[in-house]
Amino acid sequence: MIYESSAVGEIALSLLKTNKAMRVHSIFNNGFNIVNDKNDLIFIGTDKNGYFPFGITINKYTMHYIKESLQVGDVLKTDASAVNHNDFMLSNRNSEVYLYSKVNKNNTEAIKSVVSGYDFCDYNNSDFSGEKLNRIIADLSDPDAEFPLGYLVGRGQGLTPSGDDIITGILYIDRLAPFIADKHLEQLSLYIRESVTTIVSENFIKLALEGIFSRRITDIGDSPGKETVDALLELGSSSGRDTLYGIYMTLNRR
Amino acid sequence: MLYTIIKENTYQDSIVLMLLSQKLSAMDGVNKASVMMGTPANKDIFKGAGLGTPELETASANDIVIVVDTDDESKVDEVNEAVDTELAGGGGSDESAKSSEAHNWKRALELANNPNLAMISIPGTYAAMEAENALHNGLHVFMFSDNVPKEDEVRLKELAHEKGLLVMGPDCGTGIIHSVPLAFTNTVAQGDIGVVGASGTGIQEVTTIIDRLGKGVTNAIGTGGRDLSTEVGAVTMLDSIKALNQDPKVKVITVLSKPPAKEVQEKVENLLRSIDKPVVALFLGNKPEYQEEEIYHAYTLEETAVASVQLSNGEEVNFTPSTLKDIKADFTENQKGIKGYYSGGTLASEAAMLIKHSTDEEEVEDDAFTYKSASHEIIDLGDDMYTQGKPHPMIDPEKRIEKLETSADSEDTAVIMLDNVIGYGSHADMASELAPTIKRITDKAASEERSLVVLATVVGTDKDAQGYDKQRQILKDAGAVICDTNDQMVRTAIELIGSKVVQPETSVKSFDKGTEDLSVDDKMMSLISNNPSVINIGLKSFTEAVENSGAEVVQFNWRPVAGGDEKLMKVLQFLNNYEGENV
Repeated sequence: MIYESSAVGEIALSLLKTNKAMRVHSIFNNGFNIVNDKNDLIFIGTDKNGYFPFGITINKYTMHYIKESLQVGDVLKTDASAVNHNDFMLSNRNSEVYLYSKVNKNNTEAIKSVVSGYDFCDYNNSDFSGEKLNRIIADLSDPDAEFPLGYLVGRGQGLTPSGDDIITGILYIDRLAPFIADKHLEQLSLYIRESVTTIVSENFIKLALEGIFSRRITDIGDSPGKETVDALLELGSSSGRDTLYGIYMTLNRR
Repeated sequence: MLYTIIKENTYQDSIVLMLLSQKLSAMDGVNKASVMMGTPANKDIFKGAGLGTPELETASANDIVIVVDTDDESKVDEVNEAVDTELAGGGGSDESAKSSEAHNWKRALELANNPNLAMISIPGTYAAMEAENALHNGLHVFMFSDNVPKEDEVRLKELAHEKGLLVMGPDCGTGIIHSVPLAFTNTVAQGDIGVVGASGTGIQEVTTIIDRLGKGVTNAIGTGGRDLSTEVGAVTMLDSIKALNQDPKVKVITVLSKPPAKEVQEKVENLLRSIDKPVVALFLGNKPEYQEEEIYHAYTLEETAVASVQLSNGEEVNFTPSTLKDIKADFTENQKGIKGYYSGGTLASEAAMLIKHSTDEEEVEDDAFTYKSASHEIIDLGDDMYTQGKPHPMIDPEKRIEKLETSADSEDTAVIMLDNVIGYGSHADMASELAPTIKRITDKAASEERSLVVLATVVGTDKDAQGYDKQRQILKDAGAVICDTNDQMVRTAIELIGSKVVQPETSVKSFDKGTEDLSVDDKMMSLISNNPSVINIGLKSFTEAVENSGAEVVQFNWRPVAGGDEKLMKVLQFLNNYEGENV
């Protein structure tokens, strides 16, 4: 069978161009991940969770069919125009290339005012209490503090542990109005390469450090409002909310 | 005592893991349990909760780690099982009922219980090779795969015929073998009408109408669209007719196909004239010119079904076509067009034929259309041209939604026709996918005080999972007018624009009785007289229908040998089947 994708992220496209083969890393209901030897990752799946710079978007019917023939460890032959599996071909010939948008730095105040309308006090009963996060965020601007993000990386449940999603939120605000000491950013970049979190999280953070975020996040900066914030909240089972919590805590830092 | 379970390179989202932690902690005899990805930070959490173990340190960030605190070591197995079930997609699924799975022929043949049928749905390039393997192992073949070269089809069918076996397909979408539905098929009552057809949705339309008229079909054998070509020579159709003829439970034989090459049609008709059972024959696209004493020549699919039912009841054939009368429409002068957007290819062909035979517009040749003229258009959206890279329109509503919207806005559109083919393999609720668009376009037309009629027909039975009545009701509530058959829908559309379909007038002709050899191999009789025991090579979803009807099935998870290198595969294939003279 030949299937078609509808959109390909810019990062995914460059990975397809430079890798001859990638293997299936993990499979979920709405998509699956493929990785190369260096653990660079492409997410192939439906647009349920929005568009990712390292994503290839397919419709749910295609996903339904692809899932039938897919197993973790399967090797896929890749080039810019297609992903080839023994049982199917996923063609990108007619798909739109999704260029990641630069973060919009003009609406920080508006983001702050929208996000402040949301309540995150349930986090106080978790590993990520407001008090704990306030300390971490405050330490981030102090180059002499001991690597404050170490506590968050890889901490929590799921495919992208909550701590990592919170970091993504913090890094997004840092892109809008830089406050984190370079030393800590450099250390984070080195630290995540040491197998301290899941491959998926590692890729999200790597890109966030380069200023590349998924569309659900950049949408908030482009048009801050209830609609874009709610869309982020729906992402994953808790990822969107964890990211937003990172944004909220950073914008309201003391 | 603490026990550690590590699931390497395994993922689940956080909700699943949290629920799993709760579930495990609530198990009798478990003091405490926690499930997390094995990241260094999470290892600290384990330790903080008093669940640190030496094994924990060996887990990587991409492993799921479960630490259980229990005094009863036997609980660990129980926990492990619960975890596996949950990670495999949640509890509740009955693993014991799952069909057994194999990765090669040897294992598949071992697992299967006297297998006699291989269902093949792997890519066309490889399908012929596996069909040959199946035949060499003494199995009949149902080939769903398309893109199989014609010369391979000829070779396979000749080989099968020699061995007393049947090859259904390639590109065979539909089949019922001893009431077991294969591939895209409806659940139809058992009965004394035997069907052979070279068209998938044609078989679906005829068998479901027969079911709704209170009769049944135990065997509906698909031959694949090219079986009646000159090169293939109707090998499968001829063998199938002979088998149905020998089956004492079959009272009427129903044959359907597009008009074949002349010499092939003669061959088929000669066989039909050799048998004693009443026959209904449809060569869709032709106007029948005569009737024979034992063969009823039908014009449409509904007529084929009705004639088969009447003959099975021992009655004379008497078919009166019907149309829906009380549809209010006040079309403008420009509104002359009938637009049909089909998921069933044969249904589209039937619409094209009826429009061609009863309207006076000149046909425009265009490969994208089953029929096209100045005002009318009929499209088979299941045609390769529209499905490249997309799922079939029986599964994916996208293309039809698009067509509905553009045609509704077109000034010349008077009537839009849609089919909704339900049953195994089709969308779980296509009516609900199409309904919002139907509602939007009919509401819009009404608000503009413009007449627009959307006609729809559902191909299915009350035994199909989607629910025949439910699908009709959803479409009706959305504003479509529901027709009982495609025949009725197209005739109604044609009447709405002021024309009428005239039934062909036929004379009675008699021919000499045929002299064909009617003997059939026992393997063929065994295929149609018992539940098949199936080896399914390819799409796993096909096993569901087979299992639901109580037949046995072994899933063969096929992977190409020799890394998919076609040349090397062919060499291996040759060596495996090579029978040296000095063995």
